[in-house]
Amino acid sequence: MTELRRVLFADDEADIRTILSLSLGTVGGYAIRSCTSGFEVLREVHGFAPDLILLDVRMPDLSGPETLIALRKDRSSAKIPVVFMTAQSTLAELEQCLIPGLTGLIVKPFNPMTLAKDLLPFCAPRASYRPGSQDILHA
Amino acid sequence: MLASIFDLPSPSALPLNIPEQSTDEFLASVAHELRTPLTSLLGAVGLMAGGAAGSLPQGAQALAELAQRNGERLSRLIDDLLDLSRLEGDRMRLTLSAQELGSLIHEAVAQHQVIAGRHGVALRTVEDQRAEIERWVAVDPDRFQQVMANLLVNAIRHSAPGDSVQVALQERGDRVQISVRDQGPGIDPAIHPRLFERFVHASSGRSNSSGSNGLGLYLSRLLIERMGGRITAESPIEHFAGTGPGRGTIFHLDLPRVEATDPDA
Repeated sequence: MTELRRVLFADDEADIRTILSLSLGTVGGYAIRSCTSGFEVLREVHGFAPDLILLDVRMPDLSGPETLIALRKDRSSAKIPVVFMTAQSTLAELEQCLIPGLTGLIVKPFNPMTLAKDLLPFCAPRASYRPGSQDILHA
Repeated sequence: MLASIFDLPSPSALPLNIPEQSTDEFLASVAHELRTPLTSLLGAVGLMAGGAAGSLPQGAQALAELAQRNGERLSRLIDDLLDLSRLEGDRMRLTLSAQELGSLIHEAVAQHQVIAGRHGVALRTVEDQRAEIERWVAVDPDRFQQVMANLLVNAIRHSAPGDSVQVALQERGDRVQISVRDQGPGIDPAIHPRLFERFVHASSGRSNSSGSNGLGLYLSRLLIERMGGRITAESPIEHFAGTGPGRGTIFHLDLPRVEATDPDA
């Protein structure tokens, strides 16, 4: 398993970024980079070199899925695990979020005290979404 | 190939499809908009209660945990209301497939061992003499587990420490019955006839302090009926002789058996 030390995350909600900073930085002890948009993720990813990227699905301008596609097209970020966060909860809604190249999914509201630990399995060498597989859903 | 005119939707049916789709989209948006601030709220109180912002005075700790519990309750209510709307409007998509019931029950029981342990309740499956026989039913596995979760959590929450909750499987002709039995206070006979209606709490014995929103059993009934099954309840006296009248409740799920390879299942 790749060691998880650096997490870059993006959410357009300032309050959720605050929670994520505390949850992943203070509680989890990771080095974090907080982004407000998908565009900012694409700007920051090279300099920060994260071990994992956490993206809100619904973001204005560039959504989580659009950001993922851009990350996968760039050779330097093509293999970084990407996990979506979504406030959708029905299975049909969650299935819409599962696109090739995605590593995993976290459902909002998440547990802020365990989130850092909950991300660890997504850094496993072969953690990636396979169509038809539900084994990476973390509800 | 010519399409029969009878295959075409009637003109009056066409406009009806539009508001139904809009309702779903509207509800999904409302649920999303409710969950977004709830994520911040639950995140903040969860971090406080967990000590991420430093240790709290005892009174403040209890209040943070109270806020956390109620935030989680609100989160469940949002999910339940969304399900309720889709089930009542016949807009919920269920994917039925043949499933081996013993495995589903084993999974449900395993997933609830932690919460049972937290309440000091022994949760176990009662094996019958023919446990090795596979019993297949046509269910949507996720929605079936939602019903099982509702019954198991109810049973655990209404049990006292030291009580047991038993899950049993029985064949009944061409049907199979799953029973969840607790040793709690039982169901008020006055409530019993309306137990599976919406917003009915199975008080007085089964009090609302458990955090129930009065939708769980109603949703369970709608879901199990959509899977061709039935749900019933009984509060027997004779099963728990010596522990006082009215103690204990049994919920039964009754489903038709199918062939393991049934292509329509």
